[in-house]
Amino acid sequence: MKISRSLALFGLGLAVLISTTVLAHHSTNDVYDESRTIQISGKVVSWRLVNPHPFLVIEVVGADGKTERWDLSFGGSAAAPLRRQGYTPETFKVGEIINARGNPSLSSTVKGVLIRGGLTRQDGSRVP
Amino acid sequence: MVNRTLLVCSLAIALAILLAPGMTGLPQAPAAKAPNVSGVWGWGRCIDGTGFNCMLIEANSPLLTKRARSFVAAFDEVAAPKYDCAPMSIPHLYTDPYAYKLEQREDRVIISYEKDDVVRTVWLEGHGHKRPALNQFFVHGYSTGRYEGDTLVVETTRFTFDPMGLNADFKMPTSAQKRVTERFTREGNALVLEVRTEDPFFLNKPWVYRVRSQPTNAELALPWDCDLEAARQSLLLLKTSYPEDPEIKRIEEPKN
Repeated sequence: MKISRSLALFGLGLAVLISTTVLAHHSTNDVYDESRTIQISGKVVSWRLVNPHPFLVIEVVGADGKTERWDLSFGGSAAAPLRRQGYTPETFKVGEIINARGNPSLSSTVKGVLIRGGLTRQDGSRVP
Repeated sequence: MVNRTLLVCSLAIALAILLAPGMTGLPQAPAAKAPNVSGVWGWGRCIDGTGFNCMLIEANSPLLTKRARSFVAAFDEVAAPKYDCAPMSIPHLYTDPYAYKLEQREDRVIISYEKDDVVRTVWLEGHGHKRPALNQFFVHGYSTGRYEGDTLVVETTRFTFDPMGLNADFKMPTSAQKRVTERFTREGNALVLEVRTEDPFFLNKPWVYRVRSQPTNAELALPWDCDLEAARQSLLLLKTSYPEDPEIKRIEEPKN
């Protein structure tokens, strides 16, 4: 699945309020480039709704055809706030396609995105 | 005829029994009724209207000593104990958006936190609780408490040196001289918490903030059950400040 330049149909997903709040005081600007926003789509490799921070890993096929792993961050949110938003250990299935929008990581070796504005499935429906 | 000697002795014994609790520190009958601060309380909001900002210290804050600023600059983020599932201490525990629970008992108050599954015991004064030995220090310190009118006052010292004792997200440390005074006061349905943090090594003067929490209907979302892989996931995106030093090989905990 390629990184899409054209906009996928995300809708106006609910702001992940808790994550946004936590972002502000977890000082993520040393980890993510908050001046840029990117959109990626990829296949779920791993989803763990655990503490201290749930993490979602997807596999993205770049423009060069190479597969890369991307770590999708909920900005320091723990499991309980995400559960209250409706996330469960079964929210993502390995192999399903997920669209994400957010700030890219500053790391030159590890790909990551700080999720902003929620996630959507391949059919455009919002997650969770 | 009543033996005078026996009478005097009996009176002396009775007087001693009445005075003993005060002299020996044995449990006494409760004094005035304690204010009810028990319950599960949500994340506090700053009474000064700044959201949660009153619970944060900026890196350039005049509150921080030069020693503190130098520590922040020198400390390698990847060495922070939180990446090994170590819990946060106070005052940071109130900074993150999680609930906590106060349970008042006759001789102690139990404070439980969703965040990191921390449980603190506040030993109420006047119940003969023995202080820990001088060589005992704790991540969450040693807490004693008392009631002042409608307020539960908690004093905590004996903290271990903590590289993230003031704030875990901004590498702000506290020393073994940290003293935290918490004042819990009920205001209607809400709970007002004042937190005063003192640390002569890292703060130029006491740092005080006040937050108001609303009661929650739910129990704490527990267990926290820190996942080591998840805790260390963030390290993939971080760079050490000291790449010239040998690579860090972390201890792997056996799975239960």
